[in-house]
Amino acid sequence: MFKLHNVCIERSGKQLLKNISFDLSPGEVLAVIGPNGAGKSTLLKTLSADLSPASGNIQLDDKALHQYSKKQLAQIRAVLPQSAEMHFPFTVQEIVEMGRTPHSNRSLSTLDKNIVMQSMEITQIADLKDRSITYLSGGERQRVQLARVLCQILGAEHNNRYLLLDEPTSALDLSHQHHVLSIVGELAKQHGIGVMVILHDLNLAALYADKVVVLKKGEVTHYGSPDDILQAQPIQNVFGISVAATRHPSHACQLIISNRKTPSKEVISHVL
Amino acid sequence: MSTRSKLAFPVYFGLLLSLLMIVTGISLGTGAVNIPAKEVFLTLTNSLHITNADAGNLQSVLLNIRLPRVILAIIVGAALAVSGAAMQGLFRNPLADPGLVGISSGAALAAVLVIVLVPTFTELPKSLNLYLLPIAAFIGSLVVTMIVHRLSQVHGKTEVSTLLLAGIAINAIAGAGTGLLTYMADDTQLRILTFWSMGSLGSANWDQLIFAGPIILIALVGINFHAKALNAIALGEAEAGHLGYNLESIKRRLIVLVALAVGTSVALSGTIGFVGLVIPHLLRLIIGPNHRMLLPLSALLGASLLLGADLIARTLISPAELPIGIITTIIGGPFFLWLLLRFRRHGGII
Repeated sequence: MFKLHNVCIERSGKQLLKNISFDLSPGEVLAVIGPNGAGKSTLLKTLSADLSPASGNIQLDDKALHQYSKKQLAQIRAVLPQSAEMHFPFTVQEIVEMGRTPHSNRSLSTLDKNIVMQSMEITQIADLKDRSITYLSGGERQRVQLARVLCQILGAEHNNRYLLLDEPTSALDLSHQHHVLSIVGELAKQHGIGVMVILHDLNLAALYADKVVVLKKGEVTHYGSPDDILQAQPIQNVFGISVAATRHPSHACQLIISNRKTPSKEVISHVL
Repeated sequence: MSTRSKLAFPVYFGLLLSLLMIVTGISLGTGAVNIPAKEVFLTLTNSLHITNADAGNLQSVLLNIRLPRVILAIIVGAALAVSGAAMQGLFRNPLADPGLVGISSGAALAAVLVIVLVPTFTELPKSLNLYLLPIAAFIGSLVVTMIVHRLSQVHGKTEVSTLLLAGIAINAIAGAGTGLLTYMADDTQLRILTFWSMGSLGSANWDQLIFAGPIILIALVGINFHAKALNAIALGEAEAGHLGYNLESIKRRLIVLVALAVGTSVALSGTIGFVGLVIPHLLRLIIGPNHRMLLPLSALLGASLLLGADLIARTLISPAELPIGIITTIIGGPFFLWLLLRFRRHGGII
């Protein structure tokens, strides 16, 4: 389990995250939501040990996060970056295979190869495996990177494992957004993987998350079940827009509907 | 669409090794005097004490002039091509070439400083200036590599424009420095300096090779050990870290190894441009970007290319010689332009 207790992150004198406390348990999908610049990516970098806290502590399975070596971490948690730009024409399969690096020595074992194939099938990119990444569309690339991080944490069943995903759905069409989040949810349940996922779409959070963390200006304003948090008032307070919240017609979860925003009179007169 | 060929690594390795052997054979036999293949072969086997036959009267030309020169071309060609591939991997950019970003000219400037400003350099015992030059060149290339790397990294990403502009600035500064030193040089020094500006393998001798050869070999083998890490770095530096690589120490090691290979090459042969750009790029088109294949094959093809270029340099206007840098630049310059056009068509990385 990831346990964050009063974590503060500073960079060049500026406080990016203030007193963050929450838990991420194996088997659970935790969605992080919040406006732009709230510190969501910073939070992800903190959990992936790219940033170290100025104060507070982070425990990972009863050991402080900073006591793990990079290699140890790589074997139990995988990180999907927001966008990975690649200038070299690696094939899809080569990229997915890189996910096995922390577990393999010089060459891939049969088990590794099976996991690679399995990851590509789950993310529906098996038919692209010999294509060069530089010729794929944004959505296809995102699924390739997802396959790579899945492949990194599948297999080692005896450990708790974690997935940290930074907006995995941003470049995907509607069907793939749901596809990706349903895989992630399924993996969390079947393999007991703890998933932290940054999302912009509140309704995706409502449908797929077990818990929600809301960030605003570097602080956690809400932390709890999606049903409690995804209500009109909290969303209005955090995002500054007017929304209506209701029950989803076909699922037992919340549905957030944005109201149309009318620009304030001052802004209009200023522009004109 | 990927048009990558699917032949196995050993096939390519075998092909390129045969190419290198053929070019080596031709280079040994061709020159101011042509030596028949049989005599070349017998001379080599004689000197390895395998045979003891009459190998004609050109044995000493072959053993003392041509063979060291051929070996020098092979190790310098391999060093430049592998360093180019490693730099491109490290900067995650196919345009990072030790010559273009100023590493070679930094090494050359440091070497020229030693030649002109160490007052007794030309009178130093040969054994001493044998070491002094490569060490100075190594330091020069190390300093430039670190500066360029520091300048071009913005938030963990390589700014290509900064990288190339830094290269232009460093090449200009090193050029000006070298020019200034030329004015202060006396005749003997001047002769040595001319050789730096264009590059030449003409000074090859066994003493040099015995000292510098192992250094370059160690650097190349060391770089090759980082092939897997370079593949991971292609995903991005943070991503490589998430895969368990300790980026800071890998970067530091690679920078030192590249500086060692490039610096020593420059000390031996002056600045020879574009090998590090052309070779890895050609190979990537055929075998793809996997560094586990790219690095060893770059060594073989780089060696063949430089050996071929040197053959042209010393036979084209024989008995005079062209500087080898001119030949590689005639091949590499247009190639670089073609690369720029190609990148622009494919969405552009600059």
